[in-house]
Amino acid sequence: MPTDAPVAPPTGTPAADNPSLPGPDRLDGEAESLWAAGLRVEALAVMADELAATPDDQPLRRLYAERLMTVHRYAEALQTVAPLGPQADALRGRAHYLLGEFAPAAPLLAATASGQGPTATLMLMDALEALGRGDEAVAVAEQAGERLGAEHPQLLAFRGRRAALAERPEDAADLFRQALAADPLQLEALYGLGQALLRTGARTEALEVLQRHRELVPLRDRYDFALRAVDLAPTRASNHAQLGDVLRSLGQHDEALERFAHAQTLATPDEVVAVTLRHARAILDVTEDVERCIALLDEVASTGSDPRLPVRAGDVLMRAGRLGEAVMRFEWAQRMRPEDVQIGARLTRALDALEAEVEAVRAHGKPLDPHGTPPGDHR
Amino acid sequence: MPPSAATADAPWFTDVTAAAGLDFLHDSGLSPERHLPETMGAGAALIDVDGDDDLDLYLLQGGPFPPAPPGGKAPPTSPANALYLNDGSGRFSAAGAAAGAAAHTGYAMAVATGDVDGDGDTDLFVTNFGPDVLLLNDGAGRFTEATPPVLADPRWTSSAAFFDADNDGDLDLYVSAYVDIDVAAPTWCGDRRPGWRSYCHPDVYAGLPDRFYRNDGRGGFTEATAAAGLESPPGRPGKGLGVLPFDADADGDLDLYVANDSVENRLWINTGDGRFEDGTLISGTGTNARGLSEAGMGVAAGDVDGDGDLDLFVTNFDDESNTLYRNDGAGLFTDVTVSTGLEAPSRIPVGFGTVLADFDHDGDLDLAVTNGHIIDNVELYFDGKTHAQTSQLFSNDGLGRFTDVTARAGGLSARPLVGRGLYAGDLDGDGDLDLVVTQCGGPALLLRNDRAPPGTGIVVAGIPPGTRVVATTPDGTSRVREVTAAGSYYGAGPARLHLALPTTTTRFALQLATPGSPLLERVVPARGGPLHVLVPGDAGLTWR
Repeated sequence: MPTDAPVAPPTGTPAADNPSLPGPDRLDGEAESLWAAGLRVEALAVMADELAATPDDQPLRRLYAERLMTVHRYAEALQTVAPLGPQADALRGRAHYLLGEFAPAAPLLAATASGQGPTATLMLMDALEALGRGDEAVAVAEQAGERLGAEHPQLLAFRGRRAALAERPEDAADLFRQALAADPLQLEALYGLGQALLRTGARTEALEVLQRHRELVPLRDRYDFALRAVDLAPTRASNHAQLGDVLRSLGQHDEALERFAHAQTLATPDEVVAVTLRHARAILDVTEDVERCIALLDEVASTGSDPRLPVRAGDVLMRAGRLGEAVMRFEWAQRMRPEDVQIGARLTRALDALEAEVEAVRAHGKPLDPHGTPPGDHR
Repeated sequence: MPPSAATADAPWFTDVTAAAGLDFLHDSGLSPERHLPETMGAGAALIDVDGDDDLDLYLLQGGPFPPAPPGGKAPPTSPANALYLNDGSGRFSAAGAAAGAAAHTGYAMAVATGDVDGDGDTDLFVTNFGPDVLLLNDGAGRFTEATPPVLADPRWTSSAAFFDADNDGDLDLYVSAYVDIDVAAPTWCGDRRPGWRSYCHPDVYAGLPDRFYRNDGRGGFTEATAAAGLESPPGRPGKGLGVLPFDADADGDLDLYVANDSVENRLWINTGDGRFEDGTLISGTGTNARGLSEAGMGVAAGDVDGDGDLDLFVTNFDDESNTLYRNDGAGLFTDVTVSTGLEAPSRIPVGFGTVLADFDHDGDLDLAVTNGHIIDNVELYFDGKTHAQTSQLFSNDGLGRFTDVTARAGGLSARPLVGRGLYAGDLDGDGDLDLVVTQCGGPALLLRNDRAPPGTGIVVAGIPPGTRVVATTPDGTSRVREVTAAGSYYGAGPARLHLALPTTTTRFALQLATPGSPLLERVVPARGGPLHVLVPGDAGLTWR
C-alpha cells in the first residue's frame, strides 16, 4: 500500500520504450548537467525558466514535456504541449492514460500507437478494456501481433485472459501456453493457465502451474519495488544494484550484470564497496569467470583502503585453489587493517594451505587435490 | 438526524455529522519522521452497546506518535477512543468516561465486535500499535478491560474478526498483523529535500504473521494458529489489513479471507471442524486476473450478481484497480473487475473501506468505497494524485454490473476525504442504511441515506454472525445475504441483516441458516412504517 516512490506504469505495461515526440533527447547546458546528476527538480526549474524566455523553442518544449513525464508530472506535461499540434498526440495519449483518464487517452493512443513501440499499444489495450470495450482491445491485440510479433507474450496473455473471461478455457489455455513459450516468467499467463486448466478439469497440472506462479509472485513484487526505487532515484547506485539482485533471482542474468555494471559507474565513495562486492559475486555466480571477478575487486580495492575487497578476492582465490594469489590478497587486507583478527585467521589458513601444497608437490610431484587429499590417496 | 424523504433525483446521502452531534476528530500523529502507522487511520464499530435496539458508534483514536512503549503509560495528552450513544433517532452524545475502559488511550487501529463471553451483549476487541485489548460490556455500555495475556499482542496488529470457526457456538478470533517497523530508527523514504520525506512502502519491512485464537466458551482464548492450519507458507507472512469471515464455498461454515498489502491475499477454507486449508491457489483470489499481487486494504462479500453465492470485493492501492471476484461455485472465483465496470474508476484512487449494501432498496447490492492516499505529500511526486480523495458510489443493475453514481452520492462525495473506514447501518431507525466514514487525521462523518424509499426496508436483528439468510418474495425472487459484523477496513458494521422488499410485498419467506444450528424457515407478513426490526425468538420471527 504505502509507497515512497513513484509507481511503475499500471499493471501489464512496461516502462515507456521510447519518447513519443520527435526532437532531441538532450540539450546542452545547465539543465542537462543537473538532470544527469539526478537533480531533477532543479533541472526542470531551469528548463521552465528557459522555456519561459523562449516560448517558441519547440525542441526545448518537447524535451521539457518528456522530462515532466519522466517525473510523473503528466498534467503539467499536457499543459506544456498545448501549443504543439498533432505531433504531441502520442505524449498526450500517454499522459491521459497515466492520469487514469482512459476516455481521452484511447483515441490519442489509437492514432499514434502504430508508430511506437509496444508500450503504447499495451496502454491502448488496457485503456479500452478498462472502459469496457474489451472486444476492441482484443482487435488491437490481434492487429498488433502483425507488427510486434505474433508471439509477443503480453499480447498473447491478454488475448488469453479475454478468452477466459468469455468462458472459453480451452482457447485461453492455448493462448497462455503460447505466451509462456515466449516468456516462461509471464505471470499473467501462468496464473491464467492455471485457472483455465482448473476449468477444463486438468487439476493436477493446474496446481503445478499455480504453485509455480505463487513462487514467482514475490520475485515480481521485489522487481516492481526495485524498479520504483530506480525510478525515484535513478542516480543512486544501490537502487540499481538492488534491481540487479532481483534480476538474478528471476534468472535474467545478463540484464543483472548490466545493471550491476551501471551501479558501479554511479557508485559514490560511500557506496562503492558494497556495490562492488555484490557485483563481483554476481560475476562469479553468473559467469564463473574468476579472472573478471578478481580484476573488479582489485581495481576498486586499489582506489581505497577498505579491506573487505581484498578479503573477498582472497576468499574467491582460495576456493579456486590459487593459494599464492589468495595469500597476497589477505596480506594486502592486513596492511589495510593490521589488527583485524579475522583477516589474520584467513591469512594463516591460506599460508597453511600453501605450505601443505608445497609439501605435497615435494612429496608427490603434484599439488593436493581440492579436498586436500594427496594424489593417489583415496582410501 | 431527521427522517429522510426519498426522491428520484435526491442525492443518495446527506452529511448530517454536525446535526447528529458527532464531533469526533482523528489524530494520526503525523510526526516529522513519517512513521508508517500514522497513515493507517483507525476504524469504528456500529453496535448496540446498551441494549436499546439502536446503533451506537465506537470510534478509534490515534494520538501522538510514537505512542507509549509496551507496558508503559500513554502520554497524558493521548486522546481516547470515543463511544457515542444513539438516542434512537440518529442523534448522538459522547459517553465519555461513562464508557469505562472503552475510552482506551492506546494508538488504536481496528476493532472487532462480538459477544465474547456469551452474556448477551456486544464486547470489543481493539488492536493497537502496542498491546491489544479486550473490553467486556456490562450490558449497559460500560466496558471493563479484561485482556487475557495471550491476546495482549504487542506487535503491530491490524484488523480482527470474531467468528465461530468451529461451529461450537462461541466466537473465535482472528487477528491480522502488518509489518515489523523500528520506531526507534525510522527509515527515511522519499527525497531528502525539505518537505519531501515520505512514508515507506511496506516492501521495506518484513511482514508479521497473523494469529488465530480459539474461544473456550467462557471467554478464555488459546492461540491456535498452527493447530487450525492457519499458518502462512514458511517465510511468507502476510501483511494483513482486511479480514473477512464468510462462507466462500456455501458449505455451511465460515471460511476466512485476508487481504494482504502488496503480497498475495489468502483464502482459508474451513474444513468444517474449525481447521482450515489454504484455498488461495485454486480459488484464484490471491492475485488479480493479471496474476499480480495487489495492495489489499478493505474487503466486502455479497451476492452482487444474484446467483445465490457470495462474491468478494477488495480495495487496493493506486495504479491498481479494486478487484471484484465473482464466485463461480466449487471454490472457484473469477476476477470480473473489468466486465463489471469497476476497473477504470478505481485505477487512480487508493481504496480503503468498502460496503456492499442495497442503498436504494432495489433489491441488489450497491457498492460504496472511501478513498484517500497514504502519503500526505504525494502531490510532490505525482501531479495527478492527492492525499484527500473522493469517495465513490456504484449502483448495481441487478446482474452485478455497476454504474458510477458518485456524482449523485451527495454528502459521501461532496468533498475529498482521507477516507479509511466505511460502515453501513440504520442509524436513524428508518429502515435504510446510513454510512459512517472514518478519516486518517480528520473528522468522522455520518451520512444519512436519502435514496431509499421510506418504509421498504427491514432489519433482522438478533441473529448470529455467519447466518445466511434467503428472503423470497411471492413472485419467487430470492435475495441471499450473510450476516457479518466484520469486513470493510479496520472496523465492524452491525451484526444485523438488512433487506429491502418491494412496496407491494405482503408477505415473504425467510430461511435462516446459522452454522451449527437447525435451519429456520418462516413466512412473515410484511410490515411498513417504523416497525421494521424483525427478531427471531422462541415463537419464531416477530416484529419489534
